[in-house]
Amino acid sequence: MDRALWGFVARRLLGAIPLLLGVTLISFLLTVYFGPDKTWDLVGLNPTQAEVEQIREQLGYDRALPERYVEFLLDLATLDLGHVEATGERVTEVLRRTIPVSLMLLLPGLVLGTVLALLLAMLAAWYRGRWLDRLITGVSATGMSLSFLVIIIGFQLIFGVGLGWFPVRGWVVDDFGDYLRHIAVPTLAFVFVSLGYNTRFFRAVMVNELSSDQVMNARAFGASPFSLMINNVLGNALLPILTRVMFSVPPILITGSLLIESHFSIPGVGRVTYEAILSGDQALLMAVVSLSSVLYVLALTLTDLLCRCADPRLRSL
Amino acid sequence: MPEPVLDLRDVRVDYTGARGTSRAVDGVSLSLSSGDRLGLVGESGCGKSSLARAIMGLLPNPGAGLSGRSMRLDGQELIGLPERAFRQVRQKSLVLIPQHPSGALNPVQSVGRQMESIIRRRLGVSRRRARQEAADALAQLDLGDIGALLDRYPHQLSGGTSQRVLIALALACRPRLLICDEPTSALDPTTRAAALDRLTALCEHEGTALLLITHDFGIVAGHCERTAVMLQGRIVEEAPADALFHAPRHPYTKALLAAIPRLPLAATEG
Amino acid sequence: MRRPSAALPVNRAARVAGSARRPLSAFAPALFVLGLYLLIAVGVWLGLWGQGWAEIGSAMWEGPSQDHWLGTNRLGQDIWQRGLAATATAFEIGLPVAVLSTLIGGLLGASAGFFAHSWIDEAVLWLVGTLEAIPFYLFVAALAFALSGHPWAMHLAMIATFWTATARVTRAETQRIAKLGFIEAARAGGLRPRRIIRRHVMPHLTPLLLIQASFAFIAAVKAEVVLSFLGIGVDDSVSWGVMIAEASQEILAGFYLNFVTASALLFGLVMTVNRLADRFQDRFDPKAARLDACNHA
Repeated sequence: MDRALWGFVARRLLGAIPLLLGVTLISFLLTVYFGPDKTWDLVGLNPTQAEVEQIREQLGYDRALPERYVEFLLDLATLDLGHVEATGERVTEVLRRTIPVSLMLLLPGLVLGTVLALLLAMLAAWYRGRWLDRLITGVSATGMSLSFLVIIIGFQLIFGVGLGWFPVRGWVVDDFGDYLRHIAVPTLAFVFVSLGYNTRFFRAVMVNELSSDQVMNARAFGASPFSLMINNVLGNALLPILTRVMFSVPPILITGSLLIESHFSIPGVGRVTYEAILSGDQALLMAVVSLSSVLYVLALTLTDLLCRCADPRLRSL
Repeated sequence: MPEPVLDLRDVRVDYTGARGTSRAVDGVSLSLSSGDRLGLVGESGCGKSSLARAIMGLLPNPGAGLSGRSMRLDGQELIGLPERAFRQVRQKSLVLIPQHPSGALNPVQSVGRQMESIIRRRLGVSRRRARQEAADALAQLDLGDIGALLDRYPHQLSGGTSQRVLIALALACRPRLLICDEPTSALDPTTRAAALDRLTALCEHEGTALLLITHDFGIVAGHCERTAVMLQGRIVEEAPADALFHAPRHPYTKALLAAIPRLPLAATEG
Repeated sequence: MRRPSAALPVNRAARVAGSARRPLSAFAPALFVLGLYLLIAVGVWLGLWGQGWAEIGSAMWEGPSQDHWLGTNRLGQDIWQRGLAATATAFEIGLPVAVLSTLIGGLLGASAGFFAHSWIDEAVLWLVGTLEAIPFYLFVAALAFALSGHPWAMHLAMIATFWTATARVTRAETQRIAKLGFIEAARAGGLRPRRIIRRHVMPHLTPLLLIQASFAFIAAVKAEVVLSFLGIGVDDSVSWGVMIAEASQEILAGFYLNFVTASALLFGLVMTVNRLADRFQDRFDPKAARLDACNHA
């Protein structure tokens, strides 16, 4: 990789620092500073003033905000994330155990949903105005109007209880077949919901591209529809599409894992987060919020990098 | 007499929109034989571009309709020709040099790569040969370091360079009919003259018919044998270039010619 | 004979000519349905119907009957009444959130776009980036704790996160408008920025803002469903989210009405508003691709 690229990466990472600070500050404020006061959970019955103060000192409530924030940052950086209240397990352990499950659950749906949306969008854009386009657009509009939760519950009903094809509870993955059967319903639900938004967006981008001068010119020189789509449209549409996908992945993963796992009893990050929300487990919530925010900011940087590679026009920046 | 390359008889182009139908080309008849050079002049909105698109088969659909008695390219009827067949025709025999050069090339591919793939597809030659053809064509247009140019991306080219790249591409494709829509608007007078010279020289050499759309009479005078004047979708006058300039017959032609600013001779002496 | 593809228009004139402008009558069915929903909500607010949603009865999980048109739920509450009241709740949540988030987003976005690359722009972008990094539902959960039971916690959380999407879009559009000739002329003519924004930029932003508002409305309504399911949404009243949350268990036992009622009403409203926004966008802003739908599932 050339020096310009490294310089670019360095500058972007540097530029991400204010964001990282902002994000961690908000996480800190929300989950720690304004979070539930844990003093009374830890003292025994009829505590003396001294005992109360001791606990408070232990928890750090007596210190000033900046100090506590810095301590928070350090904890985060060293991944010293405390313990889950209910079980006493280390938060890092919990995350280590649950993150892979969530990824295995959601990534197939994500990839499938995006690829499918791209294909549908290409068809819709190419046959714009004709019945195929109208059909695809109509279905997308419907898809966009469906609530994720409703779909999950509905699919659980249809596929699990009704048809009995797939399991709708638990996570028993001894072999690949089991794995496929367990992710079938969640993946289906996920794809169903994201298809609407994605297809719509991708289609719009491609329609835009299809009406550009360069496509017209390529066509004038005799390019086939296939070549047009691949070389001229996709290449140029890649930028907004990539940006959009990267931006939408983190929130969708989190929401998806929250709802799907809690409903289907799959032991992933979403489910432990859900339980943390219900029980008010500060440590876990703080960890998840902070980590996902930081990851998001890093994902932004990555997106910038990818865009630069994809579009020669950005390389001079 | 050999078959004309392009033969238009009473061609019409209509655009249909929410406000009804408007006729952009209203019964145009033209004929171009191999090696002919016809200049098509007229003000903006007279239908020249629509005619060019119609010949190329690039009218929007739905939204526009091509009709008329006949429109033939080398004897093949183009009116009513389905898109797939039209694409073959385009690939083999037609090239259009568009009006705005900067947006015409694919931004994400290098100049060399694009030219190569287009030439390769059209001439059916190997990649290396195609690249050579591209380089040769570019060399004819005074573009400096060809090797570097081929590796550049479209956004790195100036307007004038882009336009010449397109002209080079057109030349390399050796079409039967070359339509130029304001092909030199982005060039300064010297480069313009040079580019057009090359263009017309090659057309003569290859026997390509040239349809030059412009509103610059100077270009027409210097490079076309015949001129047609278009007004509101119709050809109002068509004559050999000299005859048109010296003895225009239609009042519109006269008005157009009169509108060209002329320096009073006194000013050039002072 | 295969016609050439519709996808490749020739030039701007032809493109505009080719796109038919939908007549106003295309809005009518969607507006009618929206009107019905509004009517229901207003009726609930005025006390005309849907008042008995909290009454606990003895008849659990009954089917449709004379007394209870859509049956009852686990507590014997009338599903029909609950459906009506929930519709009102949806508007109670959706409208304030839509209006406020659009106003804030529009204002900040326009300022950022107008003073592009200045400190204002950087500050707004930083704020937008920061808020978008925090996962929405977790943000609401954390905010709910922090505000410990404040009745408007959910609304605040939604407004605090939805404005960012509007801001981004408004900023982009303002940047585009600011580059147009007449703005430069206004600046050269000595008009103050505030005046320029108010009189020359805002009118162009209005269609965009209306569309963003409708997206925010939809996002709010859909988000509430999930929040209520997670237990951090509506809890002192009835909403579609509450109904669906109750129903998620009932359904496995075979009692569908609660679920179906809430889902159908939800789908109907969301679909209608989506439709309206689409048609509106077609008519007033055909060039702007649908690049900006708020997506909170």
